[in-house]
Amino acid sequence: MEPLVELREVRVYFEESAGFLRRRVVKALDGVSLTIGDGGVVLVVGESGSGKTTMGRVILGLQKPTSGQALYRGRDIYRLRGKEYAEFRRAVQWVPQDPYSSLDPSLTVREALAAPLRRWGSDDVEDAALRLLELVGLKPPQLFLDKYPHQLSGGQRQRVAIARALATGPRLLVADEPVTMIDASLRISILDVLAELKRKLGMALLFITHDLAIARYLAYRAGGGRAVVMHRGVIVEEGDIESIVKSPGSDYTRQLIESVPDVRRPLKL
Amino acid sequence: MALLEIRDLRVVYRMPDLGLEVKALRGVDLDVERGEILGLVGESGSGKSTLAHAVMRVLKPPAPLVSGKVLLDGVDILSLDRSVFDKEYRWRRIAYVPQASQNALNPTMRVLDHFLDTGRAHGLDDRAEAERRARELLAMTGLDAERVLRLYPHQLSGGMKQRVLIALSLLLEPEVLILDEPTSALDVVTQAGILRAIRQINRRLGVSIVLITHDVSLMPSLADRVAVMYAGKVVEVGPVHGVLYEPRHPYVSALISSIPSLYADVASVRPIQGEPPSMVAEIRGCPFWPRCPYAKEICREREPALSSVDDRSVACFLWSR
Repeated sequence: MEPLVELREVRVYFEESAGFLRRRVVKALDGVSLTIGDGGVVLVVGESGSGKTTMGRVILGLQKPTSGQALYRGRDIYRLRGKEYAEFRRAVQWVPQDPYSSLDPSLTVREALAAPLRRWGSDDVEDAALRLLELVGLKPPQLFLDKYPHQLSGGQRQRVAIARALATGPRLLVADEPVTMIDASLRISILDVLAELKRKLGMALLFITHDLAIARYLAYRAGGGRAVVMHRGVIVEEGDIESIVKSPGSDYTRQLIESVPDVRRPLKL
Repeated sequence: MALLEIRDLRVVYRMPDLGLEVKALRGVDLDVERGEILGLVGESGSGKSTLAHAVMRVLKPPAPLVSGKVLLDGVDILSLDRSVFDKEYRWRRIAYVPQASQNALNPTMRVLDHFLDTGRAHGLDDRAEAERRARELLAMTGLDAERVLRLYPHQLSGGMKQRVLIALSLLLEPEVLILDEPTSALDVVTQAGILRAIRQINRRLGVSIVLITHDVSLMPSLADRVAVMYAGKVVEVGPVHGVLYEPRHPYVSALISSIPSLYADVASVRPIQGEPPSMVAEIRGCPFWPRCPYAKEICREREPALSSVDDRSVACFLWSR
């Protein structure tokens, strides 16, 4: 079978104003190739402006490349139509960064989950919603069905957002900084949920983060993962995350690792 | 006597329409010593930003109720006449850079004008002197002062704006500087630069710095002492190495174990079970007991007071009465 998602030499250029009547080209992605196989875990690590979020948007079908190809099962994502497009939308889902603005405040958890469940053909919506909540660790699930977002903590909201992404039965979850806005003590329990989904459902994960330690933890829990280090729109290093952390192969990666603050190791300031 | 002494500080936000009261600070005791960097760590809702707001007297409605004392060099700055506080203390003796304040710079003014303007507003009318200090302070934060003074805010990156704000806050030579999440919106490489700048100004000027953050991993690089807040109180405070590497309070030890590291054994990372208490509900007993693996009968009944244990203070019945 064709790989789940493949990027081939993808470039995304934006034009922006650089003063009066002057334009400047920003190369958000500048020739990026990447393959995500079924059940694979890819950890995209980079600073703000590295192109990591643009890469996620290309894969989600939200940002058409300036050149190059983005393929889903061998077909160009930006040429999919009708049934094929619907299948792509079902199979590739997104976990947002901000759990405070991603859920409609006027909908209960039940209502937020019911729409995608119905759309993608669940017979028993109530039963399916309960199973999803259980899957993301909201237990007992009955307690959460009738809650509104404002009645939930940040960590609980992010679990609901993940449950909603799962409602379509996706093959790939694209998670862009999903724990950045969550309290430190609750972060790894969200990562545990993502890792468990990968293991239980065989889903692929594209996990985007600026935090190498978070990426390392997720890879460990998910049973391995390939890290992709991005800088200024290109992939500067790719490989097993433990090896990258132990012996970085590029100057940029080394600088990135040395800048990560750690309780156990003060920065060289 | 410590430079800044916070005594039994309490803040209650009242929302009469909803019939709710949020007890954001429930009796904080904390000292800031001369010339030190004190890290104030807490998760969202722990009260760390409310503490800064209360000390700087900038608490916003809904109807906050404040009690307790904040002594700066022995003078209670909460009971001072507001005009006296604003004129003689704010900026001149105690300065504050709030969270996400990069947008506080006026987009129509050059960086230099921000310094001149702030100087005039606080009694530094000598333009040449203000400019001299601006140069010195900007250079101390690692910026190219000559160039930056002429720039407008939109020409500065996020990290540069943060350095400008820190330099600006020091213009009137305060003794205490409170920085609220100075690096939370910045990537790690920029963050390391800001931390370097903070340490530099502390070493060079001897100004006491209170660094408020949710990120305990910044502490060993920078702080002399660390105070950890939970549910509106300080639960442990002491020298940075003691608190981080031999924490006494079960929350502090659980918090540190819950943070993934690049170097430590990944298998040793553990989440903290449960959630922090709602600050709307009445808290009975120790606020951490429902999540605490060591909770005893007494922990559900009474709230432990902060008391000294060895080199630090801890609020936990495992260590005190």
